[in-house]
Amino acid sequence: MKPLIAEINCKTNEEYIREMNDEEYAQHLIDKSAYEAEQAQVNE
Amino acid sequence: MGIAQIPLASSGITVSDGNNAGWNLGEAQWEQISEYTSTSSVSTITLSSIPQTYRSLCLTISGLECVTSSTGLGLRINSDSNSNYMFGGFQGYGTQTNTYQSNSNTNFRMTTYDDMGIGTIFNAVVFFPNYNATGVKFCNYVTNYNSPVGTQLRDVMQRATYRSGASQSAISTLTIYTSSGANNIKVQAMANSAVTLWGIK
Repeated sequence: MKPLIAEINCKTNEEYIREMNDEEYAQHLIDKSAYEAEQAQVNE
Repeated sequence: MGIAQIPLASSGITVSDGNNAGWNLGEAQWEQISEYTSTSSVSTITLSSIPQTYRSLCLTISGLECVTSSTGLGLRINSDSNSNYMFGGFQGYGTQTNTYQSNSNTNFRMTTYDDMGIGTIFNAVVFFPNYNATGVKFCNYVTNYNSPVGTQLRDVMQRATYRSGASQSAISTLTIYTSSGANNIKVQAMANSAVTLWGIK
């Protein structure tokens, strides 16, 4: 199961929670990788 | 239930009883646009289809709790994940302070190096002036959260710029996202915890 996104449409105030789509999940993995690299640098 | 307002001065400044979704400072009034209060654990909170009828926006985050694993927290405009964000600021922690700056980041960093650990509670106020005008987007924000390192409190004050080289279109989407783990934030740390978007005309 992919991570969840909560989305609020500010025009309708409709709120729903869904799984990330493939594109969002790919970005999530990029962000995670960048975060881990940064943390490794901080902890050196 | 009616809204009690107590006039403080002839300038029009009023104080409400807390039931009013807005506050009044003279002629201008902040209006609540949307509020997110779900206690579900998620990785990202997105505010989409932001109305373009206000002059400025204010995003308030209260009681956002980290629940499963350490993570950083960032903010993106219009889902832009490129290196178009600049920011600088200073943080206070314990008895120390330091400054920092980034000229090409992929988000506005909301936390600093220690980031959020399990149980960390995060709060912020983010102001976006002229969010619907074409041009460079600016924001100012103040955050505080308890660091996972010891019991220190982090107070972070930043100015930030969405760089001119990026799309200059109006802000229509704001995304609060976590940079690690999965489904590790939720808004139930305190009473009335919420992610709320306000607008002023």
